[in-house]
Amino acid sequence: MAPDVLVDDVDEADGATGAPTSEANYVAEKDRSFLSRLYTGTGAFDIIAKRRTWYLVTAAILLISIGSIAIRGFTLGIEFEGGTQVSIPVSAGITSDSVEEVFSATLGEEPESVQTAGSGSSETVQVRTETLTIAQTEQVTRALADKFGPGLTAAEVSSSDVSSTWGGEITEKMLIALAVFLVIVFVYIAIRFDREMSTAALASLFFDIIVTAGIYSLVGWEVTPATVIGLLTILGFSIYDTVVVFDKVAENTRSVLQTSRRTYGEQANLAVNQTLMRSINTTIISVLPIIALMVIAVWLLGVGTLKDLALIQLVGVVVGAYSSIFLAAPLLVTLKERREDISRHTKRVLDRRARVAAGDDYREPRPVRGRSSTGRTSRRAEADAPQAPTGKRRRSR
Amino acid sequence: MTTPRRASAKRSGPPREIPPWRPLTAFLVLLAVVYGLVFFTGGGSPTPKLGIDLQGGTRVTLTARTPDGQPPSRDQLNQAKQIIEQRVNGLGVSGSEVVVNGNNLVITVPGDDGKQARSLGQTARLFVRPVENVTAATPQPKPADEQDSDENGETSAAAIDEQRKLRQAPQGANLDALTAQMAKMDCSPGANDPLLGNDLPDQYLVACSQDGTEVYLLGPEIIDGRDIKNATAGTTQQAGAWIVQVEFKGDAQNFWPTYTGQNIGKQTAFTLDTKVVSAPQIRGAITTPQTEISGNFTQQESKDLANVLKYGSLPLSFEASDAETVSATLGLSSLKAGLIAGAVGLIAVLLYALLYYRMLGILTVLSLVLAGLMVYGIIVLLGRWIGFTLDLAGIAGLIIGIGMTADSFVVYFERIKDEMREGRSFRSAVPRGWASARRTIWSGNAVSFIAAAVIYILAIGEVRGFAFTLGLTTILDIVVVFLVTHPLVVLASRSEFLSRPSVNGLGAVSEVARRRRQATRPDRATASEGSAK
Repeated sequence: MAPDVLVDDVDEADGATGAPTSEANYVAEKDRSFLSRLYTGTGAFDIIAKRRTWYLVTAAILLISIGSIAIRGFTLGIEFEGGTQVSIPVSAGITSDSVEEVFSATLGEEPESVQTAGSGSSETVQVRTETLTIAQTEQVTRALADKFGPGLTAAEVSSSDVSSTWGGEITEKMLIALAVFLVIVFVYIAIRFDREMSTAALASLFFDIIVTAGIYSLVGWEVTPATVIGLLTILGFSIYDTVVVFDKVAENTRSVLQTSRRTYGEQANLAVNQTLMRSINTTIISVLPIIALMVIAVWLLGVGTLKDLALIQLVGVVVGAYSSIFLAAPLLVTLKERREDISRHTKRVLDRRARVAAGDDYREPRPVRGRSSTGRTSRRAEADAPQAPTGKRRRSR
Repeated sequence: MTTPRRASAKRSGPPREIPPWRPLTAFLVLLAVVYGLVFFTGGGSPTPKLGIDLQGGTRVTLTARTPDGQPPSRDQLNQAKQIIEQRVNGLGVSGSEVVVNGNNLVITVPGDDGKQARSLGQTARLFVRPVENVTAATPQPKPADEQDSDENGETSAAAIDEQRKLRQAPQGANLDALTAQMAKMDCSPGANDPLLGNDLPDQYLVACSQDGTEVYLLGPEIIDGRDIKNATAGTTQQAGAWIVQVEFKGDAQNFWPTYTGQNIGKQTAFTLDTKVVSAPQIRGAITTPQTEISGNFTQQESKDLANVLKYGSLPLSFEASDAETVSATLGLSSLKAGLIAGAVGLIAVLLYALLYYRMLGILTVLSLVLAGLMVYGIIVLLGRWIGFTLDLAGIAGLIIGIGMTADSFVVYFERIKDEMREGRSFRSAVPRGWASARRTIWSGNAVSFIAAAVIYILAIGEVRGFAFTLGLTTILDIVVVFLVTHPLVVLASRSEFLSRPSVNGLGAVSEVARRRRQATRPDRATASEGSAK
């Protein structure tokens, strides 16, 4: 709770006085367009300071996801329920009705479902039934070939039998893999960075998993083993994204405690801004091939591994980018602010700023040696007028 | 603090910077080596080994079931694998294989003839049958065999019926036809036997020995393999020769002494899936609980025999968890879809890179193309060396890997922009941007690789292929960024043409930096004035 109040103070102080808070690249160049600021990394978007809002948004997304999983649940694929699926390439005279007819006539019972999938030369009729014996499958295949031949030969009929325990087994393996992965990642980040970063990264990982699963449930596609383990693979993506942001945060905050110019949160915000364009670019670049994969898989093949993997990855990449920026980084600052040294430092920075604001202005114009001071003063000199609304405008965005 | 670096950059390039041609050459040499291996070893066909979902065929995943739910031992799995491998070879389809994956055996049989593979996981059947007659196997002319296997692809039930008529007869029947059949048996190891595991135990049977050297005429079964309580390999006390000791249970326990008492001097055969594993001669009535089978066994042979007898067959019972037959046409269209998706994805990324990074995008394109060539070559080689098969999930991994590979460039270029924003020129921003991008690329790829490795080791089924290609692209990403992208960017930064903001797309950032420099100038003036006062 306490850190949030402190941040509100920052805003107040900032907004009220327009006190310089940063080096040159932290400055919002208000006269430039949104896209241009995004591109040049001079957006100075207040992501960390607004973290309460982001926590609310995040909680809402989580609620929707969990709600969807609880209410709608998942459509389980053949691998979880068990059964046989026969697929027949579509050629002259083959329709789902005619296939169903042959099927029922041969085995004496109705199939569970018959549908067509894919398009063009890849179009198939897919029949799902309870598990058939090998002999039954062969019988049906031969009957189909007899009826629709010579356009259809027995060799062109694909089929798969799956036991009902197969999906469960894959899920069990996935949970083990997930646990192992989380432990390794926690340790890796704790060694490479620190414990708070580890915790924040793991929290955003959990968020990614739940939301990706939730969105999959909303879309309502069948859950197959490919989906289940696809969920695991987005972890790699998500953690990669978080690591890139944290790497910049670590760089920016390396010596933050040695000066009282800026708080940890502000430095972290700067890092988020500096990596914002990368996050967007990477997401677009990752998403482009995945969309291509999904469109082509759905359009040409209709079903299968490619489609399931593509949807999971698509959602995972987008959610992963969101969580790195709007959950992992704010959460990191919240966690850090709970540490004594950081919170004391934050207070010191804010106190100093408040003193300046209260009229101890005599210090201000004094030039300090080094690049940072030039940036700071330049900002003052450059834009006297737009300074006051800075804080408000930031907040309203 | 940047001044000395800049000065040195003007003179001889940044310190500790490796000449860019060196890593580029190293990469090209590496690429040449890979493609040299691709074209000049292993037959030289530059195509990867495709999974059955891309070329058509049958894949069966057999999951081991133990009575107590404990995971099966490695030994048991390996032994089951051997037995099933023998059965798969019996199908006579080339390129078939059996691999152990976790607690599963995965059988892959390419082509359209593999549907019978689905029944291979059934526990093999072991019977004890009296031997009526035995002769050496006569080699059979080839054509008959070929015709046989052709028929088999589609009508295995009919083939089994036909073989039963030829090789089996009910109790009390005239055995002349069967005796005649013995001379026609093809006992060569690769021969296709539809009757494998499908014989009727209560009838006479013509069967080959496991090594294919002898043909037996066997009587109806006298003991079911399930009545074997235990079998162990051991040595005799006097001669130290290897023997197998068998212990029966149930009815067989009482039947065996009576039977051996009445049939001294005759042979009895242990048959496994219609093949004679061992045919010892009865030397006397066996009244002890243990029956000794002796022969000229080596240690390994006696152990193998003991295992076969003990487990009845397979050391484990298996359930076909997932059996899939993909027709060659469906496989081909999946492959096509994957390739189209890959091409479209690649082009989309390239267009975006060109739009966003202008000329620098061309470096991205070049790096991606080289990375793609490398990945392809390595997949071909891995297919030959470790039997890595590229399946549909693997293709998905590669396509998704495009985005991950391109990300390293994004990290790098964004860091260069960071540096330029602070007022550096393109040329001097490159080494500093690289220093910080390098670290990020390492950490990021390390976690990606951990993810891929964990999934590869722990996951089962088709997603392993996905994890494998994803891990591979992660490693190659590092290689390409270090050996190709970075040197190319360094070269670009030294080119006057590419340093023009309109060409490299870094105009907006240079503009920001320029404005900042301008804004600073008056301040500097004031500052120096101030200090002068």
